[in-house]
Amino acid sequence: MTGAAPILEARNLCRRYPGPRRWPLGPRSHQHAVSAVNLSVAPGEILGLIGESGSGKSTIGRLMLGLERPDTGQVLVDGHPMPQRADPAWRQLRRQLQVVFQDPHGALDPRKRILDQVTEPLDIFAEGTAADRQRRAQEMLARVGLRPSVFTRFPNALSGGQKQRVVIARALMLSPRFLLCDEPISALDVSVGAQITALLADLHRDHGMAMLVVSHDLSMVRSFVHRVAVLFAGRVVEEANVATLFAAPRHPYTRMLIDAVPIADPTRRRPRQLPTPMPPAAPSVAQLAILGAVAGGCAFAARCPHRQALCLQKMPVLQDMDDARPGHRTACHFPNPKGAAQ
Amino acid sequence: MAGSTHASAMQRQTTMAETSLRSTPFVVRLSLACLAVFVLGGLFAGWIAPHDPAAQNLMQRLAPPVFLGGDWTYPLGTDALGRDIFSRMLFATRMSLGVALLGTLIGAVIGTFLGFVAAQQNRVTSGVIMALVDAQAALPFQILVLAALALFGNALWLFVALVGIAGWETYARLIRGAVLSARTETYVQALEATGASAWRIHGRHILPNVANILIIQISLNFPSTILLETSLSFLGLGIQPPLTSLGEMLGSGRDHLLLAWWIAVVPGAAIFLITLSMSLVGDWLRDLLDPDS
Repeated sequence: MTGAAPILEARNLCRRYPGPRRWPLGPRSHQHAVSAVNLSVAPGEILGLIGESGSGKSTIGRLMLGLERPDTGQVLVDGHPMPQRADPAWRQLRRQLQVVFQDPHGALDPRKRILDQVTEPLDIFAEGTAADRQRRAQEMLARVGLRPSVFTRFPNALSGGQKQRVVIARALMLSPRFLLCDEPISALDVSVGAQITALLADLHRDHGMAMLVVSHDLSMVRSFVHRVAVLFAGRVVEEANVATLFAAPRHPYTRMLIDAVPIADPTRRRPRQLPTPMPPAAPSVAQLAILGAVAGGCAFAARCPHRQALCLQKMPVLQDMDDARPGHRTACHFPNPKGAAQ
Repeated sequence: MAGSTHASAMQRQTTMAETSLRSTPFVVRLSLACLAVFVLGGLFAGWIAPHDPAAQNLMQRLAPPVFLGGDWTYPLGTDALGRDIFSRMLFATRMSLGVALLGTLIGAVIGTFLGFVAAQQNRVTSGVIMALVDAQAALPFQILVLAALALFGNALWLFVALVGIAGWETYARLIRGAVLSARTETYVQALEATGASAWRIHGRHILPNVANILIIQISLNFPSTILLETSLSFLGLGIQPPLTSLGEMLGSGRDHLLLAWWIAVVPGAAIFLITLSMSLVGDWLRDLLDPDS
């Protein structure tokens, strides 16, 4: 971790969504999307956020941007609490906090020309003259690798990769200090996704904005983030530098995630720890999950190969596990031994 | 790679435009031609009409039209007061189309505005508007118009306003739904994340995106507005003499159906043709502009 004061800091974030009522007018059940999450992003740092579908990755992204408000906890921008949405300061913050969405096809207004959409952020904040804004938008579109012939097109004439370039250009128009990339390549072909990843890395080198990259694509995360937080069931279960995390994952869930990435070269294949089915005598996953939730135990216990009695009784806290590697924090009672994988 | 994608996308677009133009069904072209005749006739009524539509000629009462052995002085015959039906038809078409157009636009503007308002976060206003929509949909509106005209007396502006109010609730319901669904689109979230004002998001982005639904609804609503105007005029509560409309002509021809049926049938046929053509064109527009439905 860098020593600089973080641009964005999440403190004990919780966000739950109302679920269905069990009976009419009865109490609502709640779905906890994010529980007690602490994260921080330093200036210029790229933080990756990985985890399976439904683990709360996108919710954290929206909370960090201030598009949603946490139920408890808070998001700090440069050490100050995120302003309320009605506050003019919230609107001014939009210049600094920008976002690239998962679905490039839906992220552009189908009835506006490309150039107009990229100019719009400047129009909103009325920066410079109209001609000046257009010129800057044209420069930015060229910077993300689009040719002038597409500038006057409507989005339906563009491919997915081109649209994502437009979305990135639009997000960078206001020179943000923080860019959220919410699954930026998951809707794209593998080769196009690689180009977009390269473009993002390139733009980061030029602009030096801090980034939060939400993804379930480990190879993408590994190729260009600095630090990774692993999310399971709305909680951060492990956090470390990217090299440390991939070389020596301590949390069994992280280990499973990494081992699930196939390696094409059979000579480099490593011993893997894949999710194994439960032995027949053991309690079912559902029973364990209920047990864990009731007893306040580890949420991962139901799927964990190292599960012991303690895991169902006590929730592990995220803490430094290894004095030699400060900042490598894991939430597990029985973590993998140091340097286990590969 | 990018270049070929452009080219094929552009090609696809042009071919789509061409096919839609070429494959315009014959019935639709006929309807468009028919509407053009009535619109031009109404627009240039003052130049085309061979007679003053109000001039009476009692010597020539109930003269038959050309196709029933009449002469070309009165191409469509004369009515009970000896007025030229052809000239009256031109002015009646102008009045009916004008009232229907104005009424449809009033309804569309009010309905669209309230639809946008009802799609906002405020639960009270949206609840009130949607309750009004349900109330209007449940009421027999023609009877309400009859009561209003009887109560406040008949004035042209009041009549037009009432015809306009008749259709607002369909627009409000439709636009509210369209705005609500447009607001879940990622591009709207992107605009919010960039700090765009609600006015910019709704006026510059959502409105253009729901415009095709609006155009379709206007074209489908237009015939029923014409029918509302003509049926009220037929009952004697709409357009009042000396002004005339298709419904008023139909109503006054009713008394002479046995002796001179053309007095009623000619405006009736015109109403039929206009509404049918407009409905056909509206259906075609819907297929053209809204591939989802």
